[in-house]
Amino acid sequence: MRARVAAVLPLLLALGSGRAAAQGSVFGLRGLGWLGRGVSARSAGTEGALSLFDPQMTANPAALGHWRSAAGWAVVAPTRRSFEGPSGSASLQTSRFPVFGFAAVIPTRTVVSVAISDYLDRTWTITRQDSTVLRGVTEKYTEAGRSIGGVSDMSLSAAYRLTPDLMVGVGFHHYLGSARLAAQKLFDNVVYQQAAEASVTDFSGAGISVGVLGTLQHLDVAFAARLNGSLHSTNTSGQSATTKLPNQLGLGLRYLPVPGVFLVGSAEYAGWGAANADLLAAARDGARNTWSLAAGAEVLSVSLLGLRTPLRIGYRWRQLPFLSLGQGIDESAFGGGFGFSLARGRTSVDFSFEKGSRSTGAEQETFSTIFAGLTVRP
Amino acid sequence: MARTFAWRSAAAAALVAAAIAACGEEVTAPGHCPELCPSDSLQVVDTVITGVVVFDTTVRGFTNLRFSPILVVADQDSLKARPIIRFQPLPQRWFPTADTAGVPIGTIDSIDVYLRLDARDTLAGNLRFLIYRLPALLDSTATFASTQAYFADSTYIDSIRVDSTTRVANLHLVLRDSSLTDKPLIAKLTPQAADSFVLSLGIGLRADSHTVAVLASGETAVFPSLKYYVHALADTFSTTFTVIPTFDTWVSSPDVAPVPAQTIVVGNQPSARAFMRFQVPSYYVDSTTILRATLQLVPTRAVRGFPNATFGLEALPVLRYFGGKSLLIGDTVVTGYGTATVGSSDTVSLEMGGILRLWRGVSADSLPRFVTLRTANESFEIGQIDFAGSAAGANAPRLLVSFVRPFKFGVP
Repeated sequence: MRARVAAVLPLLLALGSGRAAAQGSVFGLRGLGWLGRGVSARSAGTEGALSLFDPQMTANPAALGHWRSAAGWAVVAPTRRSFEGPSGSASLQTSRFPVFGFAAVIPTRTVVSVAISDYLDRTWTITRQDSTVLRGVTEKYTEAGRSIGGVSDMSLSAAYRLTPDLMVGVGFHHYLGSARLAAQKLFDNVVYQQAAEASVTDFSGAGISVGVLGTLQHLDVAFAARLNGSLHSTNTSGQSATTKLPNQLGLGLRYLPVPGVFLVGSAEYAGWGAANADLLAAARDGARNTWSLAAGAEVLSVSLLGLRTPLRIGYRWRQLPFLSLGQGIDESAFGGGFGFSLARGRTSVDFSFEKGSRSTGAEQETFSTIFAGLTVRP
Repeated sequence: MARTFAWRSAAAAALVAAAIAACGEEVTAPGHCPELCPSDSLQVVDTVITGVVVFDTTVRGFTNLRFSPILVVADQDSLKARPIIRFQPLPQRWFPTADTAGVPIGTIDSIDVYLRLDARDTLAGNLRFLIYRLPALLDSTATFASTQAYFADSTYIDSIRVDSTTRVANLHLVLRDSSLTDKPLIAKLTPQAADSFVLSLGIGLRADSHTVAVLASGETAVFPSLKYYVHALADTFSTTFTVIPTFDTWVSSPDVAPVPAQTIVVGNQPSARAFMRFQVPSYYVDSTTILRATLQLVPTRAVRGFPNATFGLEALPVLRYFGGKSLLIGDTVVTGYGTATVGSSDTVSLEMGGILRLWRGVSADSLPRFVTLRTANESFEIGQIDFAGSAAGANAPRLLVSFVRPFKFGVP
């Protein structure tokens, strides 16, 4: 087993240094943005199949019950993307911090946590060349639109262990963030000065989530629901808007076929269609209800260099909520990862890599992402 | 144990290094409308604003012919011009090595008359510059009429021929005492004691057709000169004296006409500048992004000046308006530019977007919305253009503006 792991390690390293990738997408210019994934490095290894069981994530507050001591965690996720479309191709890259937070155990059997995770990513830059007739002359220009920022999910959650096999949780979510927007038009003809405008949009909203996590012999079952209010947007140009946020449901299963090996799967539903009317009223593309499906495996009985080294693999498929000219955007990815448990279990380091694609019409974006996560349990 | 620790450290360091190396930001993608196109974009709008110039005045005299870097020579029907040049006194004694008593001039061996041709019309063939000897002490009171009598056969010395293809040249007229034909000419070019050894020359021209040419004046580094090669009486010693202008100008006819009423005049010598007060709706100045602003001016007559040439026009914003003595903002970023073609009566366009952008957010009390219009090379330019003024109705100056309206960034 050690030999196999030793062979995988350089491969992952090579992939990581050659292609990184993660959150953020040119498709984020649609609707409220690109739907972020506040995923931990561990769950990313199973492509999110572990989300509802992962105490580092905000998907299921009941999962916090897994913590037995105070903990802090953070994830960095550099992403590289290759975009191809009729207007050309481009290689893009961004770095994100999908989630970070800390948790504390309150005697007895109660865990509270504060975490901040990606919710909506509105970082993108689009450039295009075109021409227009000014004063009877066709003038070529380059137009650029840029948005930097997004909406984060800041959650305050608590979990309670009713029994060793049953945990419940509740979380309060505050959605907040801002996006700096800029538009620029630059003519080839130097007689025309470039035009540049900029503004900032601030966002705020709220939601509440509940969850339950139970164990039935070799099967863990997790269920979570989130009720969201509306996202309020205010722009420095004086405009404001309110967009309904979705209610969400999630179900996860984790099966232990043999000791040390878990098979996991999850399905999540988000009623983003609730935002459709508000988006259409704002002359935007509409939104649809979405499903996210993921399946994977986690092998815990592996060690390398004397360290416990869990291995993970997974596949996911999801629908993105915001339409592009009436067409939906689908995304799929596969990936894997591993972790190290250091300092006698007080520190763990997780790495994952995923590769996937998303597309609409003739535009397609492939991406590859590294997730690097650090968890400290002092 | 130590080996294991080293492996762990190396592995962790490698992973961290890989993660850091993968970090970076490059988020620019090629847009493709309508699929990948922001729902809003900057829309450029064109409009014409009439009646923007509410006041204009023309002031002449921003250059002084006495200190002009050019000397204009012309025999056109519309312009006759003749340079007059007064040179330094010719020294009468020099001091060879070890001779403290000095040596007086005995004979003049040869004379080199030097002129620098800066511009001419090559369509006028067989161009010749005619050199006349004028009274020694002519000054700035000289006029075309008062000097007319001196440009006569009796004062004519010689001419310098210019090759038909030459536009710019160093012209030399070399006269040698050894030549029988040159000998009397050297006598004409020799300053006399009665004139305090000062010599003045006048320059005319002749060509196959009426034309105009420009010579460099004494204000330049290629000034006119007279080089005398002299011998002592005993012919033992020889030396060279070069005398340069102490005064030069040109006289012309007709005199520069007064500025016609309701007319904006720019150029000529002494140069004229126009001062125009603008009244542009504040919406365009303060609320939009001006990409281009073009001031259109309608000539009231064909542009005059050097044949077959164009000359530049500049529009400069005024910092403080004091009529002809206004303080100007010389920053090239805000200077407007245009060109005029001699002989043309077409509308002239000046790009002055930088000036409108300068006015953005500044009240007219703090920064007067005055613009002065002048020729680009004011000291060298003999062209003149007359435009319809602010009270000329349909022909009054107007402004073409290409702008972007205030952009409403959409939300959410």
